[in-house]
Amino acid sequence: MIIDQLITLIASKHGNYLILSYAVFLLGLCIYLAQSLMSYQAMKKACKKYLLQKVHVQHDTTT
Amino acid sequence: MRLKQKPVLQILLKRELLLYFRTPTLLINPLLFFLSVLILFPLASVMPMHELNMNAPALIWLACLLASLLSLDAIWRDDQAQGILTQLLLSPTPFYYTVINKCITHWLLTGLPIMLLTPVVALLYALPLTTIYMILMTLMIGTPLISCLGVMIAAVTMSTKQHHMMLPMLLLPLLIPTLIFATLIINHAEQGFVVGHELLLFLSLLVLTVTLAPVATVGILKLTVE
Amino acid sequence: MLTNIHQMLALPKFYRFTGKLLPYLFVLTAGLFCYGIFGALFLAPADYQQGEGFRIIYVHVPSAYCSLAIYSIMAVAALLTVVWRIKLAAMIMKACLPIGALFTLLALITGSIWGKPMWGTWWIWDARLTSELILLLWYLVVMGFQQTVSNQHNANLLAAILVLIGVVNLPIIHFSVIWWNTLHQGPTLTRFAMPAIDPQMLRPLLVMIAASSSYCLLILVLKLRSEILWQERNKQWVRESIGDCI
Repeated sequence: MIIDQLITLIASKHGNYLILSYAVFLLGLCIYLAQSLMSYQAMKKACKKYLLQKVHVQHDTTT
Repeated sequence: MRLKQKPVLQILLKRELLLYFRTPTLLINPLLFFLSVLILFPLASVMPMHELNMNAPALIWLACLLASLLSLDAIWRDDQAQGILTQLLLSPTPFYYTVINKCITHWLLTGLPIMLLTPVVALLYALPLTTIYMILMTLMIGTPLISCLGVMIAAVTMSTKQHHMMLPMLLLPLLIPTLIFATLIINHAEQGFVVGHELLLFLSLLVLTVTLAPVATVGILKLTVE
Repeated sequence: MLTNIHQMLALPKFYRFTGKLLPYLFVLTAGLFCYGIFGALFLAPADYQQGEGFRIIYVHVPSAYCSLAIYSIMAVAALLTVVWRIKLAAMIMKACLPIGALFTLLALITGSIWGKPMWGTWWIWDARLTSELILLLWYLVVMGFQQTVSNQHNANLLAAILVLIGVVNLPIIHFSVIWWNTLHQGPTLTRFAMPAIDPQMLRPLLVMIAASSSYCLLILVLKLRSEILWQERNKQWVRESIGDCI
């Protein structure tokens, strides 16, 4: 039933503009969320790497 | 011993003007750019004279904005490079006078000559007398606006890496209201409406900027110059 | 209560608090968006004049609202940075810039898609559209500016000052439809009067605005956590919190 309603919407007079705007909005938000999540994970990894390097350096200087 | 305020402003102003007059290229450059833009446009376009007429106020204003951008670029840099800015910040006289002095200098050396050149340009575009008068009125209110806002944004971009590009990018959005007001007023005057109240609104914008922008500049430079 | 807020501003506590908050924010955002879009497309009745096309309001108004709301949050954070030099405020301001720019761009794009069938043109130089475009330019310029200043401390201060200078744009955008005779329609939601819109159409709009706001909060929290981790990477508490879960 929802699919039928969706098809009615798309087939209406300004249907393609409607779908275009929703697609742009949702795509934009999803892409940006994905990018933020990926950069967040990358930052966590980078911090871990940095901390590991620091630990190694400390070991090297003390031994 | 603290000097009296009025002679300090005059001394600083005299110093600035002397520095500019000793290198005449600095004086002529913005004006040459202004004239070049206004000469190149009719050459580049195939519009007949009466259509050029309609675009002339917008062109003159655009050329004025761009020419002011040229001379704003180096307004704080030499003083900062030589350490004079730090000295002025540390001295007992209020730094506000230095900022006001920069605004006045820029206006005297860029805004005022552009206003004086406008009648010459009006000849090139065959503008009627009322339009020339209106352009001069809006320039008279608008060029101090450009100077005050420009000195403030030049202070902000002084220490950045790409200050040549940052200054126009930051200043032009702030100058859009000025541009819109000025061209609107000239347009309405050409159509024959009475523009007194619009000019007063424009003037109020100038008063607001001249009051607030130098104070903001003092704050910015005190925060960011070591 | 002030001591509570002051403790919250301490970065380790703030980091842990937002870590606990993150899953709930995800669920909240997803839920609100699902309900909002369902309501926007299926529950709200079609408009008398504009037909089905008016449903673009349910993406256009939340984007425009968020673009202005984020700028206001940035302005408050900028004020805190310049006057009280709170580090967290500087980070919040820096994190808000890209989100605000995104929503402004979305507002302009969805607005222009709405304008084509309704007004016949993709763009018009009236007060509201021009000032929204200036807001987008200002977001982009402040973002670019922040990355060119070499000194980190100065970068935050100068960017904060630029954000405060740009605050003059906000009343212009908000009141532009009242002050000038523009093609853009008047304000739908005013604070003190009953909205001039059918309640069945209003509910999905409010839900979508809430969904966009919670999305902004989610992204803000993600970006803040990244920024805090990076700036505090030399501190002991960071080592304890991530170093152990390698």
